[in-house]
Amino acid sequence: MDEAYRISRFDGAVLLLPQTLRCRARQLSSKQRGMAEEVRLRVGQPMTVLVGGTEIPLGAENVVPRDLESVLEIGTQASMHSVRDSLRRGFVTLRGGYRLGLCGTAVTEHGQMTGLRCLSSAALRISREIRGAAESVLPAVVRNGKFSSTLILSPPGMGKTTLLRDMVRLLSDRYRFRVAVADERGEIAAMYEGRPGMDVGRRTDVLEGCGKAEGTMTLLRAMNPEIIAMDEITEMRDLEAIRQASYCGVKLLATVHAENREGLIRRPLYRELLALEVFSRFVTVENHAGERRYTVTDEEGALCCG
Amino acid sequence: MLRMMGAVLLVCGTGAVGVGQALKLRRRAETLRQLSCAAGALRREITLQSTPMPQLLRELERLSDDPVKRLFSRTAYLLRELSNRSFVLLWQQAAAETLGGILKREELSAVETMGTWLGRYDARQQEDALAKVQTLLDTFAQAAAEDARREGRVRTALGLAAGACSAILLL
Repeated sequence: MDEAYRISRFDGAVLLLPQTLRCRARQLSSKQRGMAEEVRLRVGQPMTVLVGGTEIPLGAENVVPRDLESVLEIGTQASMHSVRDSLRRGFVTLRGGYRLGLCGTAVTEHGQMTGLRCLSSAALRISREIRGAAESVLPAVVRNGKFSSTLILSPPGMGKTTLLRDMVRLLSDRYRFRVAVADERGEIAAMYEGRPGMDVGRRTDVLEGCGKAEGTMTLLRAMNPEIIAMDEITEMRDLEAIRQASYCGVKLLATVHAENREGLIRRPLYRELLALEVFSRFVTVENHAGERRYTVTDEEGALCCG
Repeated sequence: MLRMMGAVLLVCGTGAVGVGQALKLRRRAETLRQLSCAAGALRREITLQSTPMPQLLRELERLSDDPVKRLFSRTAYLLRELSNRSFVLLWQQAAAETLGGILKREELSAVETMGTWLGRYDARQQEDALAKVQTLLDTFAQAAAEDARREGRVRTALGLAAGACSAILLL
């Protein structure tokens, strides 16, 4: 991947930090900036940057609560009210598609978390677009111009969303499918003022900020898609929407947190997902010495080649 | 003839100063009324639409007249400095620059207070704070309108009278 692009994504994330922290983050070498995956802020501790699985402390000064509030203010452009629903789930997607995970004291109402106060730590994730990531996968999931519903399986931080985004782009641009994206967290397309911040293809419609279940149904009704893509199936309601979409003849492209098929079967929600028999291709993501490898299998677990 | 012309010019000049003062009072009242309407619009947009701040400022800039229009356009412009200074400071700077010469200290202070809430809290908290500011602005606007009605005439009359007296003395 283009080193300059990798560094520019880090620099973009750094712009979301308050000035004092920004100066410290810029002290990293170009190589480290290009490899940085997350910026972590914990009150009472120095800021750290996650590079290759190791947290590197930056400077000796500790992060103060005001720093976390500033990151939120800068990232949301002083629009906390606009991200309230997202904040309820503990993260906010910021301008440029960066995801800010937050911890603090939960504010609850009727047993439901409604927000966070007294912020204590934040993780600013530096998402990067990898054009061509899905090149090796697509021949196995598109045969004779027909796309097979595909589930991407991977543990967190292995590049599920990156692969999904590139698959959406190629399905839309190269294979000319009408793709609709239910982008609940705004991480796939990183929409800003109606335009995608990441390349998701010319024939792609994005519904951002809406729950996957509601989003899928809305896209079905409104956009007449051939393929619906969504990130991280986590709720029973998502399964119902997937079922409805498949009944309508729409193909699905989704991701789940699981290491492999066995890991999937162990979890009740995903057992039900498999029982729907909607997905006929499974892509597992593995990390081999820092390099991502993708394996595509069918329902029977047999390897699929392009 | 020259003396007469001088006298007329003197009366017109001082009269214009008086009228200017009266217009200034009316402008202050009108500005406060507009600010109150803007606070209402902010409340609606924040609670009903969750409109992000940059878009909200542009929308209000479009809907307002000067100098309130300039308040929103200046704040929207200053947003680019958000990574260096907090929103409240940017808002206060914009308010001081655009309304400083028009409003009284306590009125300007009420406008500046809005910046401490805007965009920092969830919609309900912002709504409560904006409602209080709006009530305060309404009170100020009513008082300013009353000032403009009562003192406006007085100042115009005083201006004309001062001119007339000076003219008589000089003649």
